[in-house]
Amino acid sequence: MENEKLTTSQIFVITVFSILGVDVLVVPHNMVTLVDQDAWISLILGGLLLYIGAIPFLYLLNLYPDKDLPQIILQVAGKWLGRILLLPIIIFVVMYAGMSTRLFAQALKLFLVDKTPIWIMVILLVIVAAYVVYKDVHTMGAVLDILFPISIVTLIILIVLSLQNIEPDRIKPILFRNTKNVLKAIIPGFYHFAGFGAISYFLRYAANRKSACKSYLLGLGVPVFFYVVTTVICIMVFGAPPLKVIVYPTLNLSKSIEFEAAILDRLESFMAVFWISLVFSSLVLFYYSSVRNFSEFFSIPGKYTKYVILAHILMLPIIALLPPSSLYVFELHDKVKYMEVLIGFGIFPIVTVWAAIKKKRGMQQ
Amino acid sequence: MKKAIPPILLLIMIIDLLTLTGCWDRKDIENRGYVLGIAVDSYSPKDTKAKGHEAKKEEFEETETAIGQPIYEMTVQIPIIKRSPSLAASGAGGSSGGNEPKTWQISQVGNAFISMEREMESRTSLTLYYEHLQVLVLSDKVLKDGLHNMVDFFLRHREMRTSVSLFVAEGSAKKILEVVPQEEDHAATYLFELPINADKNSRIAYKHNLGEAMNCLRSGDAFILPRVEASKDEIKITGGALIKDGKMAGWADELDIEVINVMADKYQGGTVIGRLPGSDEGIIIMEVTSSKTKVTPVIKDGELSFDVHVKMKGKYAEQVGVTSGGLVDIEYIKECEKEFAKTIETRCKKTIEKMQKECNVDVFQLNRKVRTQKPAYWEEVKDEWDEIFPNLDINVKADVTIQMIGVMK
Repeated sequence: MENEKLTTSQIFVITVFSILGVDVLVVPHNMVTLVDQDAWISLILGGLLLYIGAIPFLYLLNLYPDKDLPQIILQVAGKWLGRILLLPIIIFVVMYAGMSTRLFAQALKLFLVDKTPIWIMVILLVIVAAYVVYKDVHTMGAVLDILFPISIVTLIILIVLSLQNIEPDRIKPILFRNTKNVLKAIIPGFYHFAGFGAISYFLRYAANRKSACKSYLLGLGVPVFFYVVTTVICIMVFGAPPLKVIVYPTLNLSKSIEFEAAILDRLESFMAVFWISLVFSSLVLFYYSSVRNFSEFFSIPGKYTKYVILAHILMLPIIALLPPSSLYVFELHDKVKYMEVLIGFGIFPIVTVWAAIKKKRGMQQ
Repeated sequence: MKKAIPPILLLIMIIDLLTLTGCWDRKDIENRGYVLGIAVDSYSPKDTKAKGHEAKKEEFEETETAIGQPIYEMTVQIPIIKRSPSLAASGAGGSSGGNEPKTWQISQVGNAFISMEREMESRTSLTLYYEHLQVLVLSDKVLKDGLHNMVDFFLRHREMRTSVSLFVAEGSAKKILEVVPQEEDHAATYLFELPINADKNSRIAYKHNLGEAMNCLRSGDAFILPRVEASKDEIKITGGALIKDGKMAGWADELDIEVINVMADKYQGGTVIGRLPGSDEGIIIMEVTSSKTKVTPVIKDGELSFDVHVKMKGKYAEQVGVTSGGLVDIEYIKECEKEFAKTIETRCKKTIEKMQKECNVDVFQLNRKVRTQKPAYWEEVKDEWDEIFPNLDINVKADVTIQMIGVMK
């Protein structure tokens, strides 16, 4: 397992999928609710913030090239303090995985399979993800590599086809008496990019570390681009006021496309290709991260990892099925993502600075 | 040596095999009732009861309501697909085949659409299915009571599509669906395909689907829905209904629709008429091939006005009232261009004035132009737009270019 390597393109794909998750369905709605038609500006600024968070983080990872995040934290901060620092990350990862699964099942139920119970969809998705995680990092990279072009191409098709419905006027006025809201929404804009830390569990398997780092930074741009473009298109197609009441604008977008030829009459079922594979991929990544987190937190040796994976098959559905109704899911999903802000701008910098100091001292001795 | 499959892997594989192969939502295709069109009328309890067969039908159509009185009558149209092979054979081969009804209109009265729909399920062996819904016809009375307060079901239901076309019928909407069309099997399909000719006939209102209606309702913009009329075997799109604040505020005739399409820059093609230059009797007609409209809000000394610039290109298509051919040269075409431009300008002015003074409906969505292009001004006037709109100065200028003259001079 240890000697498997990830190619540079796989690192790129992992980066994209770790951020581009179920959020693609709800980003336009969430952002427009906060900032009306200027939502895309906040998202771009949030994207800049993403880079501000990610570059020092990459530096931290490069200080310990053969370790992943929980190992680094435990090494830097020691046995006990390290575990305290790790705890929020553990909670975030496992909650994020659970909430994405639930959101996914909810949207699937709403748009495609009305009578299938939510729990069965959740459990199925988790089991399939468990199987991929049970294999090794290399398998995960390969699976995501296959899913990547399919889902991205479908997303691009959706965007291109939506162009026939746009009215560019709807995005105006730009930044009119709205600057305050735009600035306020940078943090929500940033937390939609939650998951940039997932790379820390995979970078150590990179075959070529230098180009892997480059492709990581490049990969971060992809979700930012797609979120901004999807939001802009949604605003241009629907206008800001209707977007505030549409729960899954991206799916509605696919429903609003019409053709004279009847062959693409039900485009939204075709569109399921992109978002189901998106959610599945991000679940796989977070599943693996969570397994690593728990293993390190409880110092579980490598040969017992499969039991941690098994435990997740139980734990993830329970978390996913915790909220009683869809409205609670949205609320909880948002709260979980706020944790990313805390982690990205609280824990990561602390650890980075700490590690840098430690390294320097080590060098002096 | 080959390794045995670990038990956990085997377990996962078995669970996957058992659960991933079935389908929870399986529904046989022949058990679905494909709703092609829905008509909504307003309903008030009748005094006189029908007799015999009709009475039973009316009784079926009542929905018991726990709260409130029935106020709407909903009619769904489903195609009759013969399931039993003997029926199908006699329908296709027999001489009586042509007279058999091809659709079934089920009506139900009630005050909520979902409960009416569920009540219908007790009258049909099919499960009503809305993914293929094509048209929604509303009666003018329903619209006068408010589109905004009845449309929720059609927007919230997961099977509904935002591309469903909306139409308005004066009087009974149900009658539209009862038409037995000549060229199609079902009235709903027929009606849905009618606006395809919008590139030939500019008198068909440009945007009329559910998604657009919802966008306009949410943004508070006025809009137009095409109006349909029916004879026994024909449906015609004629004019439109003006919707303001979610309610119907008046009718627009066919010529108005033409102008509304021009103003919205959604003019796809049609004809423009003009006087024959230098004559009082003859007329000339242009076939429009492309049209572009630019509406610019102008603020001068705190007063808002609009500059509308229409650019049309077309073919010289016909001259009536004079001998065929022989007139066309460069000078003549220039005169014609002026004539056409004059017609467009006067027509636009007439409709604009009607919308401003008579109806006071901003169906051109000028408020949107102000909102997007002059946001500061809009903040000041947005509450009193109703008073400002009727007195707006709207200057229309038309430019016509004739590019082709047909096969003779």
